[in-house]
Amino acid sequence: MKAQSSKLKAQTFDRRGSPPKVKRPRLIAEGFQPGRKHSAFRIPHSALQGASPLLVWGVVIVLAMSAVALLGYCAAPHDPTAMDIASRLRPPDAAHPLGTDQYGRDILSRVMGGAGIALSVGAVAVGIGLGGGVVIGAVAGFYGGLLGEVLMRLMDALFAFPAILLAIAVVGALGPGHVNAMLAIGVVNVPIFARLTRASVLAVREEGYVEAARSVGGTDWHILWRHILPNGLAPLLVQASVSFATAILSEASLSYLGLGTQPPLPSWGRMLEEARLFMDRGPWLAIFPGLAIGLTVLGFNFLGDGLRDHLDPHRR
Amino acid sequence: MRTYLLRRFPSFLLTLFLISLVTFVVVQVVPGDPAQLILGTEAPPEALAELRAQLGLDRPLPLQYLSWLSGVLRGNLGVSLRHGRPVAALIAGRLPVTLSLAFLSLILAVFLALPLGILAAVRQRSALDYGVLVFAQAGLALPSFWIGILLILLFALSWRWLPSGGYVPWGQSLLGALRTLAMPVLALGLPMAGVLARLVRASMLEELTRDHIRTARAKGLSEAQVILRHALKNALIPTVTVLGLQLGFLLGGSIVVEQVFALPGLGRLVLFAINNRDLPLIQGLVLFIAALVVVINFLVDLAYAWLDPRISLENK
Repeated sequence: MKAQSSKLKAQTFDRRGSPPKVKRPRLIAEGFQPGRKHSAFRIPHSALQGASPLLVWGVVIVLAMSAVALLGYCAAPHDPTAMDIASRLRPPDAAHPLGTDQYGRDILSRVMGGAGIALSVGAVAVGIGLGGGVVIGAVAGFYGGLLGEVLMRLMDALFAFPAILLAIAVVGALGPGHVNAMLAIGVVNVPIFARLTRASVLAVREEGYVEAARSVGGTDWHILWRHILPNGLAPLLVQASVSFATAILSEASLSYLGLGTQPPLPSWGRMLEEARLFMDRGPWLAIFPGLAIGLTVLGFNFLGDGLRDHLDPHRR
Repeated sequence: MRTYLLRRFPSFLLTLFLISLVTFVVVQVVPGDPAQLILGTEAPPEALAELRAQLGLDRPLPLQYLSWLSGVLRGNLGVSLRHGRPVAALIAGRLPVTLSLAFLSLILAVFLALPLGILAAVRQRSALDYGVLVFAQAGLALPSFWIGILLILLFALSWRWLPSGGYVPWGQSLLGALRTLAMPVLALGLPMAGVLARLVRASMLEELTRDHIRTARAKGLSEAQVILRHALKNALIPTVTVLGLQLGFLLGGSIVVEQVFALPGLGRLVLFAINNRDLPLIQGLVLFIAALVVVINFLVDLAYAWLDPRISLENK
């Protein structure tokens, strides 16, 4: 008994404290479980192992900012739009950890509220870009021909515009505002996703398994959704993360220019614009919203770079 | 080279045509009646109808597009509703400011990025290398208008070295122009320098592992010669392409940065046009800026093909 337990101990930890090497039968497809219905878009369990620090930091920052945004909606220390002229332009103190602005509004609460706006604009804009881009790219790649050519030429033309100029033009056309900014940034993102989708569709369109799916009577839609798109998912995910970052930057720029989120809603870009007149007396007005933008964009960029390394088998 | 030019030229023309189409479509979505904007809300309906006919607004949209396009091809971008002057003349008046800003930012970025990128690659994993990577991430994450605001806070409000805004034309005072452009150039050029430095570093690292570098070292060349003559030359090729792509980003970024520093360039004109619903001016400006980007990218493409003969032979 004693001998057995010491043997067990020896098996669990060797002298250098490193875990013993256990021989494990390798499955042909890692993450495959017999008897379970596998969704085409399921990420295998092994995908979570061996994440790079970049990916981990990206996930941590993005989750933290999402938590901040949620707290901003339901548990902000003050009402982000409540004015209190008696305590205007207060430097950071215990009651207002990030100070107050020219109307006495609490900057911390406004930065937290701004997180919600930035993330919602990012999510909707990326959603529009992804949705529109995948449909256009898939149609152009799958059917090709004149339709595909015309669609991709249009995408090229949209892509040729400097992103912020196109967004400004679209917002100028629709009128300034939070929702229109989402739409404008979304439109700007469509060509990027269309190109990526078309490329991945073209890459696998003639593969044997696509032909097999067609030969057993799969419809075009079924083949695209179940057999072709899952193959192009990795680059789309990476691009979604990077586009999320640029969408947040674009929203901040549009709001700074007065074309995005309108007062009194607390948008980071808008806060920076309002800070301009008062920052000689309250530099904190100009610092914290900018830091919030930088940190959030950094998080999404890390996430994108980390995902790119993680999902690309050649780089692992 | 000539066949390459001939092959690329039709698609270049097509892109320009599509850009004009997209611009026209986007701007025509603008709600509001230009005739009413000019004459005011209390104008009699007959006067409005007469002005609409005079402006050509009563004709079907395809006809309006064709007449606008034929004007554009002859260099006539229409007349601004608010300024009452030709759009082309307004653009010509503002162009030097924006071009100075973009060009100086580009120079700053290249002159910072080349040495930093080369040193980071040569001394991989040194403090300088990590510094360059942090610089690049910051350049990607921080909005240029926020960097501009911080610069104003430091150089204009705290230390009072530079004016916080405004513009002195080059013809009036060389030093004055440089003083007013210094902070905008830093705000626009620094983030780009970070991104470019990372690119130079990556392509240098790749180049330094090549066989011809080993040969160059083996035949006894000095390290400086190996790096500057043998590695850098090839590493510059991807850098030149990205530089071309970044020009669009620079022109877009200048719209926002001009607003921060009250520089009277194209960007401020775009905002003026949008805020005043000056249709012909918006249309002309968006078309001009986008076409400028497309022309520059086309020239960069040609330069690239000239630098790297493999490209003009591709897909032959």
